[in-house]
Amino acid sequence: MTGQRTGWLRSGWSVLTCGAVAAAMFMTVTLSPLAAQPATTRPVHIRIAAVEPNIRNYDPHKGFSGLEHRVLYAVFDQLVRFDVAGNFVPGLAEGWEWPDARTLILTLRQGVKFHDGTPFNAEAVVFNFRRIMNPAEQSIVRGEWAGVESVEAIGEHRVRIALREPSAAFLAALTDRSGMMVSPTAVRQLGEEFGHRPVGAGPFMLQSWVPGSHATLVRNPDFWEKDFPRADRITISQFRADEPAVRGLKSGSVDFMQGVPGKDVEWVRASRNFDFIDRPTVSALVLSFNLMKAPADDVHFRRAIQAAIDRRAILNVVYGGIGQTGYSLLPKGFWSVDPVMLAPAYDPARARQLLSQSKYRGEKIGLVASPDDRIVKSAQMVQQFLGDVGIQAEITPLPGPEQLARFFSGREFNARIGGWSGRPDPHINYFAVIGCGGSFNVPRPRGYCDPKIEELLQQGSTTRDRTLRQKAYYALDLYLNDQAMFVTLLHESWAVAARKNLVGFQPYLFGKPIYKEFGLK
Amino acid sequence: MLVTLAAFMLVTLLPGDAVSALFAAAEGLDQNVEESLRLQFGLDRPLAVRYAQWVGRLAVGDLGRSLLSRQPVLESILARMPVTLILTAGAILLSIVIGIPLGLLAGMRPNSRADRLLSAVAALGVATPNFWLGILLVFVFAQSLGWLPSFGYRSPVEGGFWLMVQHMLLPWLTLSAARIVEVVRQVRSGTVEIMTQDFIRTARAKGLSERLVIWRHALKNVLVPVITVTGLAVGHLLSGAVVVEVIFLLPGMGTLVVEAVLLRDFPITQGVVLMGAVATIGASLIADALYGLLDPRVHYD
Amino acid sequence: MLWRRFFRTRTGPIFGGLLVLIIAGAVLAPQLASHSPVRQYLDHTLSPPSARFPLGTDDLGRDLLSRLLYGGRITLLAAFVSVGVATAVGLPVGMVSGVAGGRADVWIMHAVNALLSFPSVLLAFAISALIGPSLTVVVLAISIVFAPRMARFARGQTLVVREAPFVEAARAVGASQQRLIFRHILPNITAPMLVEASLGVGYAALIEASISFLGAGIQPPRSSWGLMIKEGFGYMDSAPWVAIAPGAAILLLTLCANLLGDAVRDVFDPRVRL
Repeated sequence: MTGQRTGWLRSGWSVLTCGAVAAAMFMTVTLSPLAAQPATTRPVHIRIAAVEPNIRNYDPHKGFSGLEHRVLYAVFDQLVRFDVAGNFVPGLAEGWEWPDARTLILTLRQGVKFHDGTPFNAEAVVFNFRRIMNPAEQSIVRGEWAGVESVEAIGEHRVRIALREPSAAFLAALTDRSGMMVSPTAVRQLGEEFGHRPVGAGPFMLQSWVPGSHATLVRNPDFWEKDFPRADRITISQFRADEPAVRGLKSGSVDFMQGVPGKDVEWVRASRNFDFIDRPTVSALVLSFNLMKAPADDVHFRRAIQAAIDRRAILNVVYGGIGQTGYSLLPKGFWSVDPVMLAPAYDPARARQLLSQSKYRGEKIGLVASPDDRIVKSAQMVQQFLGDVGIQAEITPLPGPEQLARFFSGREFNARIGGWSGRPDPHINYFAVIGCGGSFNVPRPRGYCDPKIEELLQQGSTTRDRTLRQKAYYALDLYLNDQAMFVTLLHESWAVAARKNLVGFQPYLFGKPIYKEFGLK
Repeated sequence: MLVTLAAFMLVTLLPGDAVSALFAAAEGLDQNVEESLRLQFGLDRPLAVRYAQWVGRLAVGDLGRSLLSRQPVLESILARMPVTLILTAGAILLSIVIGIPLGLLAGMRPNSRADRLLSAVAALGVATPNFWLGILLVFVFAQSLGWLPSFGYRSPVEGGFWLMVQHMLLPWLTLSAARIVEVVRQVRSGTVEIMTQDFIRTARAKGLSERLVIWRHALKNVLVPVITVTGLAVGHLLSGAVVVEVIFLLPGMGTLVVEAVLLRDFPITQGVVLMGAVATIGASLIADALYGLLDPRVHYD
Repeated sequence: MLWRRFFRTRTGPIFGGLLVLIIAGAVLAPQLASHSPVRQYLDHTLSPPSARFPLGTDDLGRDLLSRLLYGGRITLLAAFVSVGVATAVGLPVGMVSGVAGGRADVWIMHAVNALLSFPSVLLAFAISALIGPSLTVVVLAISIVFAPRMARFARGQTLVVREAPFVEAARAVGASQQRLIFRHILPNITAPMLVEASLGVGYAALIEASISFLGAGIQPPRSSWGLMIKEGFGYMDSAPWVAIAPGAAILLLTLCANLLGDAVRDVFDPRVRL
């Protein structure tokens, strides 16, 4: 035994590596005091629990997850913003005009500075846009700019964007990652480090970030809106699962949590310390099909599935009854959704009858589910509902990359249950899920192409007249439901637990909190 | 060297590459971008070339960058290392501080009631899944009694030493349970053997008090196997640390690697797995060295 | 003779019997379970133990006793098969290494040590998660963790036996390597290998549970004991029975495997008086 281990001792390699580890450990221990935090003068400090993976990139143009937005909205101001009703309102762009249907001119706010003191002006905006459009930068939002012909500064505070064809969705893109302005100086200086030390012009600065533990935001004293932010300091604790975040609420170390699990809603409601806020978001749980492959290419089969699932039961059992059962891809209350439409009814008898008209002959169908607790539970309930009408489904929980390689490619499986985090404009949502060439339309890259859907999508996206767009989307929802192209199981609620003295939380439909509005009574 | 090869192969020979992971998360890359990303990360080059490059950079301490956060791997690992270090070091300390006295107690009176009780508890301890133990401890001490925080980490710099200890107590207990049992077993059998030996009888005959006898002789002889066992157990401890960090939400290397694996972030996975192996080897080397130091009978030839 | 010694160990028959009961429970799950392990009684979610649901139900209203019995099949299968595979691979490698000696031995042991230096749960988790979780992959992952252990153990035993006088004698009269291995070494290291394997089963069950708990093992709606603990984790304060029963089951299994292994070791060890 000793002989074996002295073998290791003799090899110089292992001695070297051990030395390196020891040195590294020493460095870490001696360097860690640098993380100490200075105290703020007027301490309005709000503690947030966020359930999210902890590998992040806070470069708005290069990050990869919708969950990064909570910090992005705080550190980066957007050119255009949404109000609670879903209307565009000015942000870093004071105003905008459309001289013709293919030209957008932004007028920028004056006197705004990035956190590093450099000025925000037309030059900076053009830098940002070109950064996104430059293929070498590999921006995650480059797709949104595919229809853009050119961008140029016209004067110190005006920027012109020329589009190849009219687009109603483009302005919506400027409320999201594409409209978040990074400091050109900081990007040039920091290179790839920018994602960890983001510099924007937003209400907060990212003071420290310990991945897997917490991020600390401190107020930007030079923020252009004098009334914001209301808090001096926001600590966001990052949790990998619901359970510990809930423990944080119970122990009083958390002031705000979004997405309280259904099983905990009852005690939050009853609690003396917390308010429970139940408001819809654009985030949905969707059952989608590979429409090009039997048996889901058969409308009777899809209608049978639509009728077989008791969505109310899923909402009750898995989500504690919080949220709404789905009808459209977007929630009721959103401007593009017909308020008088009813979700398809749960009717097992009808499902069996539809099934008998279909080509389905009892074969096993493959159902992919995202490996999230609630989604997998919902999938198991769907499996039972389908089994009860005679459809044999087999669930395979798969993480994103595998879903892409095996389901979205069209290679395997028949259907998927997954979250759709939702986009601010209806066109972006429908196009991605069911549009010809949409990135979530199976099989990629083209997917299932339906002329009727294409026509309605076209109608909805080429005009900026909201009543006309509304008409197109009402008709689209009607068609999609009749054909059972996908089944929206439910829309998630904000399900917020907020400490009673916390003020300023607004339940935006896009489902992400705006921390600058948070304050304490 | 074989270790690096194994670490590399482990995470490379797998379906679903990181570019697809990036895509799935972003929900909107087009095909061209996907291809160019794949080129940028060098996923088009043959395996052997990628391995050679990886080892080449490894030699100068460069583990690459995270595919997703673009942070240097070494930096993300170093940022997490103190937590894992505190967790495992604390568990080792606890196993020694608790294990040695209990082992001595059992070994001095073999087959006494205390000894039998201890060996029953020990059998249970070895067989308990540590994550289940952790859950039970949280339930009892954090949720029902409310004595200790149930999760999270406070660095000693941030909230002081005692706050850190409060947060780490349950994780330490969870992780060290199986180790304590191991140490008790070692010390017990060592003590039983030594108690019957001549020098102890001689010492007793000379009229030294029993306690002194044990401290002087038994302890010194028993310490050697304990150190060996502990050194060899570092691999187990790191395995346990992964699970314990997940339960108690400690921002250490375990939570990092679990996530990196699930998100297909190869460089981070490779880095942590390699670090784990290096730490395991390092610990057994240190144990060897101490063994040689404490026991002059051992010669390295 | 050996059996008599076995019964004299006292712990041997007790824990061996318990282990047989556990295995029987798993094998006979379809006969014993009063409900389907996947049937959701949506009106009875998280019910405490009752006459209808002897161990209560989980958050989707499934009968926990049935899930426990069926889950045992997966956990036991994973543990026994992976240890079997690991032994089948590790035993020959270790014996060859031990008999051959020299440079081959050095290289084989380098490879074995390299594999052994990876933390076991981490290695099994990474393999299982990255290839794609399924029962086969879990078995494969645990086998990869165990094979080098078995190889090292087999080599150690081989070295001991090799020095024994009767082997020396056989070698002196010019017995071939094969003859040495099959006639002399293999029969003499079978008993300790069995003990090691039985101890391995307990540990393999723990690893299976750990990787299922981390989300890379058996996937729902199937159940394994580790997965059941994961599913019950969130309900410790409102419905503790969901996580407690499967944890106790793993504890019992590992305890039985370990103590049985200890007893068998004593049986084969002539120095131990029974």
